[in-house]
Amino acid sequence: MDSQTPVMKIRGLTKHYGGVRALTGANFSLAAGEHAAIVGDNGAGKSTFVRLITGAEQPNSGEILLDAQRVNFASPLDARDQGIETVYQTLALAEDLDVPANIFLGREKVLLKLGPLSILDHKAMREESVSMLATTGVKIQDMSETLRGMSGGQRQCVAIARAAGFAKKLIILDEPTAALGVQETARVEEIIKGLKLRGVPLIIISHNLRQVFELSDRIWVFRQGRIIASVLTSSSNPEQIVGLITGAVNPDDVPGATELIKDIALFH
Amino acid sequence: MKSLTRQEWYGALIAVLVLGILLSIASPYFLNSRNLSNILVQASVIALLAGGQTFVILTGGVDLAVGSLTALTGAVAGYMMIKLGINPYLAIGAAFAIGAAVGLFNGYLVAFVGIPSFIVTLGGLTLWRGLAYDATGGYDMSGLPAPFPFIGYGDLFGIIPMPIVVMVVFYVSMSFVLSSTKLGRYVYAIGSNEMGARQVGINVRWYKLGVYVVSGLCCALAAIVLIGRMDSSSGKIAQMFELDAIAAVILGGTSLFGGRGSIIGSLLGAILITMIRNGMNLLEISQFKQMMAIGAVVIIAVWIDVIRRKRLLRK
Repeated sequence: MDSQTPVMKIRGLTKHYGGVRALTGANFSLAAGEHAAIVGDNGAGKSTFVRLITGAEQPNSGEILLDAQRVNFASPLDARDQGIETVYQTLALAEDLDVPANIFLGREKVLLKLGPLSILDHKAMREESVSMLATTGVKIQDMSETLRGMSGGQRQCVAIARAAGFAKKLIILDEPTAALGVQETARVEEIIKGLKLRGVPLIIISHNLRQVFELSDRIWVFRQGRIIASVLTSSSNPEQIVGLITGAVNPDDVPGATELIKDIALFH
Repeated sequence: MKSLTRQEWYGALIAVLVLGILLSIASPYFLNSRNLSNILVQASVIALLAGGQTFVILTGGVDLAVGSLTALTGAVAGYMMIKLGINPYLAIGAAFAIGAAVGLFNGYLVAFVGIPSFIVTLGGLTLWRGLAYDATGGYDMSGLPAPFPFIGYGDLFGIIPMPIVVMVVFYVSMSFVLSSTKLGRYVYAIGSNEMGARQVGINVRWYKLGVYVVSGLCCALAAIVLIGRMDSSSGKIAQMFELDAIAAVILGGTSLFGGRGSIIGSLLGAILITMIRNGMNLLEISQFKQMMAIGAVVIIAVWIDVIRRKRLLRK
């Protein structure tokens, strides 16, 4: 495998609920180390797309390739086991447990395997948590503090550090700063930029165009259940993206906006 | 490690100490080793029930049927030994089997069918009590064979009463299970954020079922100690024990909303409840007033929990 092989490639992904077509023929790709942003109006198909690539739902047709290998996700756990870590808006953290417990929640390190009575390896989990947080650039003063005492931004950082620490292929961030204030948002964005420097591939779903332009390499525009455009962030601008989202701008009029989408459809 | 004052059970510890000082001043009979040992022996059955109850409450549920299940397991074990002449160790095994089976039943209905634990165990409160009477013909069965007299009245090394030994060994083990095993960790995780626990791949249903089995086994253990102490058994034992067990857990600082709490708090809570009863007996306060006092203490404890939770949420 070379660096030209996309980490993730998606072809013709389609999902309908009864007669409602939530997503039709979506083509998508994520290059090694790339940060991609997903934008679109409510009901444009973003959530459906995310649910399909995280295994929360299964597509009616289409294929997902990870490192050129075709994969099927039976469940979110299945997707996780195959290397996709997702940070949900709801964060999936237990407020009453401390940071190491949350980082290793559901995949604890054990000293002795005894089913439900498996004995936890507190020391190993603590040490690995410290290094995971350090690598991601998250600063937590007291590791034995429960999350209840922490701000929303700190919790988000813990969730991202957890995803980054375990992700074998890529991370998906679903509206990571939707519930945060200005300072906290800036902090989370710094963490995400750190992941870019480390070459961790990432998909971010965001309504915040300033953020999208600051954090992403490429923007994928969803409209009416389809992926209609894919542009390099550096060669686009917020007005153009808003135009694509609302339909005021025709993707065919934007140079290169449909090129990659068509390429994915053509080449196997 | 959290500092002492930040522990959920800190309040219960203070309450035990303060009440201890007050009772020492109020009654000359309180502060002597016989009475203190007596309090611990009396607390043991409630403490065993409160231990299982802690697991259930930490997941955000409640088990209202522990008194009735204690009666069922104790009555059946007594009936087997006295009326049927079955080996006492087999009877003990049967008590644990019944405890586990009822726990599975409760856990299945709560975790897999989705009936609120309050309803499942409220039904169980009368269901298991009725079965306890019905299965044993309503007999009083007294004069239990060995090892029951030893469990109830024996002393380890000639000094430590067996109920206290059972209670201490139980609490040391349960404390380890809650702090250092997957089960313990997931109990807290489910109580904190059930959906999140599911998202990270914890098999929430099975672990929820598990806590009701733990509670059921604790009922069987409590029944064995209880009938040993009474040297008899029947369907009417352990009346209203669920209230004391739940009160002990709440007084121990465990939140009724789940996720927050400790097993050591439940032990302190059980001791606290027993001290309140013991103190009121020493001060010759009537049974009726005692009932009112315990009820009021439970309401106040939950009140404090609600205030504490609101404060935490505001943060």
